[in-house]
Amino acid sequence: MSTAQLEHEAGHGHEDGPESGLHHPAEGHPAFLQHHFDNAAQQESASKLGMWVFLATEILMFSGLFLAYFVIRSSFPEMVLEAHEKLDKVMGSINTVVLITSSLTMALGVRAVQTNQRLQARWYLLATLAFAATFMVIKYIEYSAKVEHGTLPGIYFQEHVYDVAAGVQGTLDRWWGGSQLFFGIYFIMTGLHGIHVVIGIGLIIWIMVKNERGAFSSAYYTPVENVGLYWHLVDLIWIFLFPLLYLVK
Amino acid sequence: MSAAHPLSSSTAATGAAKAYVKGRSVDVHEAHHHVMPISLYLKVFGALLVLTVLTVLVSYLDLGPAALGVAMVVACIKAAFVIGYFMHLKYDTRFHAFVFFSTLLFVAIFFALTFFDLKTRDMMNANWDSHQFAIDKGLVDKPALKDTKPLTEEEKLKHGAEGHQ
Amino acid sequence: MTTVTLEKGISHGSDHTHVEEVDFYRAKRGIWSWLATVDHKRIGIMYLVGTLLGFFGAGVLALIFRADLMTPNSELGRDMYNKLFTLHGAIMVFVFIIPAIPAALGNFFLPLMLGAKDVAFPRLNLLSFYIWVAGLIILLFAIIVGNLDTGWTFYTPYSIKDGSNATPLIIATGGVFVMGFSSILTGVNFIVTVHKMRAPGMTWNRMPLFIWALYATAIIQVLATPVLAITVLLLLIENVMQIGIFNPAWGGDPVLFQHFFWFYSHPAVYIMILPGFGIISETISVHSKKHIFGYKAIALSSVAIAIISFLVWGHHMFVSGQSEFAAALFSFLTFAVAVPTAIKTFSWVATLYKGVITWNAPMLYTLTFLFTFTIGGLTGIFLGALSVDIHLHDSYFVVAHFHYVMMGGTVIALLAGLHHWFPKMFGKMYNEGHARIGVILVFVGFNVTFLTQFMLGSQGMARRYAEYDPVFQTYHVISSIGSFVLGAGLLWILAYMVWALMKGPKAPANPWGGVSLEWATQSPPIEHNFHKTPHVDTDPYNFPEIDRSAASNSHH
Repeated sequence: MSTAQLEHEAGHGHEDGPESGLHHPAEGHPAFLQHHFDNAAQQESASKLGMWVFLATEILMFSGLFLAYFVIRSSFPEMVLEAHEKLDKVMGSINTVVLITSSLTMALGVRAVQTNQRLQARWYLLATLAFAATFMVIKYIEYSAKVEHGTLPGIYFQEHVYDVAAGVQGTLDRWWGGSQLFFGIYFIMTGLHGIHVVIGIGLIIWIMVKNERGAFSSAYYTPVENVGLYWHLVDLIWIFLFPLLYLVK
Repeated sequence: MSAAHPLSSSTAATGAAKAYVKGRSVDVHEAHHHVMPISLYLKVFGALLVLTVLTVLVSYLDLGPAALGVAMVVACIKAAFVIGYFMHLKYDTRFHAFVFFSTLLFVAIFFALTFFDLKTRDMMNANWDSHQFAIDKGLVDKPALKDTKPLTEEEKLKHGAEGHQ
Repeated sequence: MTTVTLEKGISHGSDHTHVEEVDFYRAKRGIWSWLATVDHKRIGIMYLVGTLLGFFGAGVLALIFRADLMTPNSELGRDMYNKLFTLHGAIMVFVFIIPAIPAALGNFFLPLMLGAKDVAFPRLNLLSFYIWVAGLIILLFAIIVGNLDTGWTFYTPYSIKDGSNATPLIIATGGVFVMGFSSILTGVNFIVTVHKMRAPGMTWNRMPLFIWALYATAIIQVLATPVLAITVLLLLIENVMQIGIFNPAWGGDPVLFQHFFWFYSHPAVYIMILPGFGIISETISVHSKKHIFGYKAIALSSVAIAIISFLVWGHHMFVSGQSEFAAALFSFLTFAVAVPTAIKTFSWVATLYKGVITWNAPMLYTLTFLFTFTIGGLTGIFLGALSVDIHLHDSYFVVAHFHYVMMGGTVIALLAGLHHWFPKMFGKMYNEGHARIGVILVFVGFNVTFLTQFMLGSQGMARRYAEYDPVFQTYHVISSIGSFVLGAGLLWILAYMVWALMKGPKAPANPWGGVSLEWATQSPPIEHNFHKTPHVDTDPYNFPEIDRSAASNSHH
């Protein structure tokens, strides 16, 4: 959004009191400085605070799902115990490692921009992207298996059961307090988390493009940092999702 | 005329930025950030891997009701590493930590008061079992399999082991 | 002593040319300059128009069913009646009252009062507006598809339907989900703006109380609205997939839905009222030329309300099947949330004492607020008492209570604010005579409508009923007549305000002699608000003109 030249001049506080000397020189200011901020430091600290407040909202949103999980678990402990065995611990563990590693590469990517190493940043961000994509692929494999076995949420639950002891296979429909509840919360939690991973992928691509255009340096890398914070939150949510859904008895 | 950016940080940062004070938001030095050495990132990563392995291994033990508590404690430790180091909260202005932890407080309120309701419903009504009507209606037990077919030997072998999926 | 001086309309460019600054309406022209604006003032105006459209639309719905309620039998029929009150509630809550003061007046005045050029994230601000519009369009779609009759509270399992019956619910919950993000992002924006963009010299204790109110509101928006988002998302998924989390038919818990819903919706009512409190603090001091009494108490009580509001949601669920222990705990905590509000009310009345009161529209609305909000707040305490609520829950007493706080509170405060800031926002003055007629119509209409509803409720008339026992008819007729007077009054206000926009006299920069920063710039403000960054060395309630030769009370 282009701004009138007047806006640039007025309100920068050049004529004003003692603080003005601390800020940028009278002519010219960095390209990244948005016009409603007085200086880069204000912009950066506002940007980061905004991100942390936004992360707070994400935590509260997911907290509702965790509460629903705990309530289901509290109401139907045996069902949850039995149903969660159908989740693949190996895949879940791999995905956990994948996400943690992606957090590492993301953090290193931020550090690279922070230390003016644009090229290194490119590789770290690319690595993060690769791990994120891996996560989604594994997720896809898991979901496909669920579809195949019919362990789907709610009304779509039609589990294909192999009862070896009885020597029969058949379909299990949903029942009161049954596995469709567990798989329901499983799909909602991992699904919403997966959507956040996809959004994260989009954000990482965005900053990669900007990085290629030379937008970032040690003087200005707040967007990279903020995308990093978002990505770490995605990792954090998974750190709690994984044991609750896959592991806990 | 392009001016050198006055806040270009060639010098290393001096620790955590000041909390926001009186009238003006900016302490110019706030712009300089603590740069963590790569080795620290790798150590944190290592710790996270170890804790992940730990949490998976522990899940195979039979800890009974303690299993949930142990898993959550381990998850919290992992989270603390991610938050403190990867997200730089340890080196950031303290206000960010305040925002983060007060959020957790409200999550705790949400959980605590809701569970307080759920868990105390039976206390005044000794004979009230919220699932009784379902039990009476025969809804509780898993229904029988429908559309059954016999299993071939091959299928028996394939699904004999305690399958994951 | 005020050091904020009024500015002339000249600024200095970097090459020292003198440039006449035009107001923000004229700074840029054309519809695209509005649709793609990042100017917080334009965004505020757009929200104002949008929310008022919602207000009038939902208000008309209310007048329709109030007309129907004049007779014990329902001409509309139960189904239509259910749909009308559902829509009235949903539109009023989500489209009007949650965003109205913060997004309209808040957006316009937050940066001005802080001495800033804009909010911290202007593009995010525009995005918030478009998200709001998108949510509104989705909700309108749900209305057209029809059949939304669950009440705005969407209680399960009635709100979980299958097949094509679920469609209006899926759409409506989707619309609410989307709209919630507008509120969340506005909250983020305001919190950061208040923290990071205050003018030099403006410490926390020199901020106008309207800002403190908006800040506390933003805290609630940020913490509570995400839970609403997940609640309606879960309800949407329940309607699509019948998972059963909230449906007892499959092992779910309908009271759990209420916990989820009210965890947001109780703090939400403080989102609705806190900005109104902020407006009252401004108008009551400016129009009595008296320093606000108890600045710190009012400021901190706003934050206290924000926090305590998260502890009391179960008082909406006393008869839901919630445990008696939880109910008792929530009832006790509910009494606590009244305390900070009472502190404010005492402080406002104390502000008036020995002030020089101007009997203009902003002050008349402010005084109305003190009366009607207090009734609303006190009756809230009645309802918060567990034993009393058992009898009054879901009766007209509850309806009267919340209309006294939401309409007698927020809407009256909004009217006070609109009149108080009309000259600043539009550069025109409304006609005081016209305005006083509006005050009378609104005051009489409102109280006749809703005071009778307290009687109705305590005598047993249930809410959301299309038909009722003829013994209640007299009260219903009186209430309905009141509602028509109220509607006429509100339309009258709209009419003279539009007239003033077109034909009113030009307004000066500071018609009331206010000391907060928005009065230190022209009316309407220039695009970037101030010619020079203001410096503040006083709090915004030091009115210099009053002769205080008599020993005065101390003030903060």
